[in-house]
This record gives sequence, structure tokens and C-alpha cells, in this order.
Amino acid sequence: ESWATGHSTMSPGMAARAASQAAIQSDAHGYYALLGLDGRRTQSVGTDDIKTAFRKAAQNLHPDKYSLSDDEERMEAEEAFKKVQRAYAVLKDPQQRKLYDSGKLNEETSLV
Amino acid sequence: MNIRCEKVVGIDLGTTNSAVAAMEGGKPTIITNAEGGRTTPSVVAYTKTGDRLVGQIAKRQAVVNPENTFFSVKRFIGRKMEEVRDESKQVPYKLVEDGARNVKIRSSNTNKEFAPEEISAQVLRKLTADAAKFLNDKVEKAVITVPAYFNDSQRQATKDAGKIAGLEVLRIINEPTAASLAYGFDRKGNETILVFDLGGGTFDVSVLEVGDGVFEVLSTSGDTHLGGDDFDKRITDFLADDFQRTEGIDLRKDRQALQRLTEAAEKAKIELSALTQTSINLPFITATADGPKHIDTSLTRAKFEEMCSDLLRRCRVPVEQALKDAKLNVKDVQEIILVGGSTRIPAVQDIVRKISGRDPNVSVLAGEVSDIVLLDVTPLSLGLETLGGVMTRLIPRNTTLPTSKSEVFSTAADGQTSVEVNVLQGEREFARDNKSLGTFRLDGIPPAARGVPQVEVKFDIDANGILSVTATDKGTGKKQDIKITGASTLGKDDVERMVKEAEKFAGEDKKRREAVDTKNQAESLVYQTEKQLKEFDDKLPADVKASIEGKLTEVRDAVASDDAARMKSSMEALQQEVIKMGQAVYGQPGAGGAPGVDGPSAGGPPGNDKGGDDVIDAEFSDRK
Repeated sequence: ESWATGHSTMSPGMAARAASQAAIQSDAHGYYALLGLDGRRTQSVGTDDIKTAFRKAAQNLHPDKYSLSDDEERMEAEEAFKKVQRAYAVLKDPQQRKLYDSGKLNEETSLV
Repeated sequence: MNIRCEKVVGIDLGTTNSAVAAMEGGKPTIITNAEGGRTTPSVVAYTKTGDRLVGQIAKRQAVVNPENTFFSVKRFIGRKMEEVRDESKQVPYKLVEDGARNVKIRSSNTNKEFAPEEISAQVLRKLTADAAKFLNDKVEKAVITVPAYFNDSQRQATKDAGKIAGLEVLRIINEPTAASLAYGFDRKGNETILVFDLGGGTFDVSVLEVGDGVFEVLSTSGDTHLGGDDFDKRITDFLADDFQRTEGIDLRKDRQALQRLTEAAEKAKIELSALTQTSINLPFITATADGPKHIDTSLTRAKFEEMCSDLLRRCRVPVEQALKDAKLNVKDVQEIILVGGSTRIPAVQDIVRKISGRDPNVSVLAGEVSDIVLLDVTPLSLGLETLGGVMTRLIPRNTTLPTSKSEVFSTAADGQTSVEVNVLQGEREFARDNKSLGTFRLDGIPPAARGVPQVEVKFDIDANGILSVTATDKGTGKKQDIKITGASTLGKDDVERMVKEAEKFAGEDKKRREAVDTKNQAESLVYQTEKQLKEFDDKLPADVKASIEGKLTEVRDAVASDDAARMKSSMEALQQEVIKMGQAVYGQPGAGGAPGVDGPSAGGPPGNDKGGDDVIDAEFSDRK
């Protein structure tokens, strides 16, 4: 049960797995899970928590951190970062987050 | 893990001046160029003899060679001719349109047309060559900064310029983001920063949030047609209009006079940042049947500010836009950083003070670089042209990079096998008002009823803000290669050809440089030897003197013939003889009487290649 909270590091694979697991629950597109947050208790997640979680993910997944890695590893991280970035774009905006939490966010802003 | 230790430099390729920095002992250091300056004018010139000049020496001869001295080239990089009509009239060199309506720069001295990328590559090549010398290391990798408001074509073209200069461009970073980096190294807590970057040709505003080692750009805005050059032009026009009124001559039509006016205008502008009035003197600016004409006038700061009032007003717009896009009020901004030479204009600082209600931070701090991540945004929305010539937005501006978006395309008619897509960048509603990044065709769609085929096109914008497009036929799962045509950037073949040409030129330059060095060495050796011959005249045996004089003549002849190989061999021969002279002088009892001469260095071991140099050293110490 502890998989969704307090990840200090997150590999691309973990992020993807977290997303797919969380999609079943209230965290419809797994946005909270992508950021390593608990999507089932969204009320307790503050704006600062989201920001901190995103920064942690950026430190782990941003392409600049993979400039010495091989192409495959870099691409995998980049794709994972794009997903995290998309999740953050929704959750950092109070209005969009509200829509998302109530399951009303349209397809337009969902993951690609 | 494979740990590589290579020098990566950061290059600020500016409209008017450029600079290079490297990490030395964990701290960023600005590299001084070969001339000893911290900045290098972004100027390239071709002389009548076909020599290429870059930097300060190119700038210095601009007045006498206005048609072949290329500056402010950054204004034209990655642009179509139609986008830069106004700017093209402001430069004394000739711009032409190529077959793809891209801007080319014409050099009459070489009878060649250059892409702006090639000219910028020359500047980059000099910067990295100087950096390599300074660091005493190879420099093959670089990070280049661009205005945040640069579109995809301008970014791609800048990257190509790096490639032509023989560099691997690891990253394109937005200028204001780079500036915030220099400022925020030591900052631990959360801070919201506004960077106000008014350079020579462009104006950028970025709002960033810094914390936990992450520099996150919240929004960016700007004006790619606003910079210090525009302030110069106001003064140039003021001078030219005044002259036309009194003398009836339009100096703007005389390329050489225009260049002198432009230089005087820039000087006056800079002086007006410190003084409230300045004088402008341009003797012999032109001549009429009545004789030579001069400009001798003065300009006050108040008049200058009045002339530029609309430019100053334009500075407000992007600041307000950036704050609005970041959903912030100016009160939420903790720090305002001024970057770019034009922010030294007092009226510009006043504008910032008025907008923000506080004093901006002009000093740029630099500290330790630790684990940091730069999160840049795309400055302009990306979209496609859809029915009715409308732009449909796929990726909105200020989206954090890298990012991607997919779109499924289908056919509009039965049996249609190809779709043409126009890729756009900009904020306007209609396609024609935005920048077209090019078009691509989806070919080989299996014939089917309309709406049945499904081709998924994925748009990727990487961390550099550069777009790439891939397509997959959802029916067959087949990936398609997409070739974007009609872009205002160079084709892959062009870039490769230019890389080869630049390498060839670099080789020729090196040879020419070596030839000049050899000639200088030879002339210096001749001079030193002659001097010593005179000095030790009474101490030298006649045979030594005769053989030295013989070798001297050979070196002089070689210099006159301009034959580098001959110079080298004759110099070597002369050096051997000079060593004999040293032995003859110091071998004699009482030779130490020559005051101040450093014996051991003058009498270096025979066969030492550096023999000649040692003699020269002795000469210098003698002079003290």
C-alpha cells in the first residue's frame, strides 16, 4: 500500500507502473501516482506537496540528467518526464485539479 | 560507467557581442578571447583580398568595408526574407532571397552568398578556438543560449550554426533562463524571479520559480524585433534627418556614411547612460560641390528618451504578458534581474522601476553549481492549419519542455492516399498570421473510404525547444518518415556541405596563420641578430661574423619571397650560427662583462631548437 506515497526516487519504469495501477482508482489518469503522491486521499495533498513532488521527479527524469546515458535510457526517461510534466500541468492549476479530482477533466488534457 | 572528462563551454551568441564561459573548479568562468576581451563582437568581414576577419578586427574596419562587414546577423538567422524586410534596410550589407525565400547574405569581395548560419558559425569557431587556447584543452561540445522568444526555425538554425562550426551542441538554453542560473546558484529557498533581458536585437522576459535545485520557467514572453540596435537607429535617423534638412543629402543612401552614423549613434547612446548630454562629431561625413560636410551636434538624454518613447513603451507589454501567463501579480515577484547591454539605459531601468515599484537587481551573482535542473518552456504555441485556414493549437505556449502531443489524421475524400499538413507556430487565430515551420506530406495511405485511414502524428518538442514529427499508420502500425519542407532552415545536405567548407577554411586559416607567425618570427630573429652583431662586433671572430651575415641574408631573402618553408629552414640555419656567436662571446675571458646578460640562457646547448628564442630572452633582460 505504500507504493503511492513518498517516493524519493522514481525510475521511468516505476512511474509508468504507478500510473497504470492508479488509473483503476479515483486518480483517473494516474496523475497523482505519476508524481508519487497518494491519489486516494487527494484532499490531504497540498499545492506545495505537488510542487515538491514534481521537482523531485524532474531531478530524476529530466533529459539533462541523462546526457551521458545511452539513447534508450535517455528516451525512456524523457517519455516518463513528459508524462510527469503533463500530470503536473493539470495538478498545479487549482481549477484543472478540481475538475480532475471530480473526474470531469475531458480527454483533451489526458496523457498521450 | 564510462566517465568522460571533456570541456563543455557555454556560448552566449549575441546580436552584437558574444561571450564564452566554462566551468573551472566548479565555478563558471568567463573566458577571455585572443585579444584579451571578455566579449567578442559578433562581426565577420571579408576583405578585398578575400581574407576573413572575425570579432574586434572585423568590427574595426566596418567603416571602410561596409558591404562586406556582417553584424547583427542573429536578426536574420532562421528567417524568411519577408519576415525581415525592415531589418534588411537597416544594415549596410546586401541581403538576397534564395529559392526557398530564405535570407542569404551577399559578400561582394568574395562574390559569394552566405547563409546567416555560416556567418554565425564563423563567430562560434573563433569563440571556441579562443576558448580552447584559454583552457588548453579541446573544445568540441557546447551549450548555446538563444532568446527565449526564438521560434523553432531560429533555434534549429542556431544549432546548425554550431554544427557548421564543428561543435556538438548539447543544449540550446534560453538566455533569461541562463541568466537566472547565474543569479540563483546560491539560493536555497523558493523564489520567484523575473528576468528582463534587453539585448542588442531582442527583448525577452521570463518568470521563473527557483527551489530545490529546479529552475522552472513559468512563462516567457518577448519581442524579437526590439533591442539596442533600435535605440541606435533612432539616433541615426535623428542625425540623418537633421542633415537632410540642412544639406539636402540623405546620408542613409551612402553605405559608408551610414556605417559611421550608426557607430556614432551607438557611442552617443552608451554615453547618455552616464551623462545627460553628449556631443556627436563626424567630420567629412560627405562632400558636395561646395566642399566637405561635417556633423557637429549634441544630444541630450531627455531628447534621446523622447525619441525612444515608443520603444520604451513596448518594453512594458512582454512584462505584463509574462506575469499574466504565469498567473502572478508583480507583487509575487521577489527579484527582478536585468540582463543585456540595453538595460544600462536609465530610461529602461525607470520603466522596470515603474512596473515593479522597486529597484531591479543589476549585478549577476555566480556561485557553486550543484545538482540543478533547468525546466524551460516553449515560448510559442504549436499547431496545425485546419479547414478554413485556421490554426488549431496542439501545444500551448509556456508548456514545460520536453513535451509531446499526438494527433490522428484521416482523409477527407474517398481513395485519398496522401495528406498535406502545415505546421505552425504562433498565437494568432489564422494560419497565415503565424510562422509556418514547414509542411509535410503523409504518403502511402492505403486507399479507403474517407475518414477510415488513421495516421497518428506525434509532435515532440525536445528540451531545446526544437520540434520533430513522427507518424504511424494506425492500421498497419508502419512508421513513416516525415520530411518537413519549406522551412526557413537549412537542409541536411546544406549543413553537411557547409561543415566541410568551414573545415576547409579552418585548415586554410591555420596555414595562413602559421605563415604569418613564421614571418613574424623570422623578422624578429633578423632584427635581434643584427642588433647583437652590432653589440658584440669587437668580440666576434671575422669568420663567425661572415657566416652569420650570410645566413642572415638567406633569412631576409626568404622573408621577401614569402616562402614559409624557406623561412623555416633558413631560420634554423641562422639559429645554429647565433649559438656559435654566443659561444664565441661567452667563451672569451671577461665576456661576463656584458652587463646583465644571462649567460646560461644565451649559451643554450647546441642543437636546441629554441636557441633563437633564448637569445631573444637574453636581449630583453639586457635592456632592463
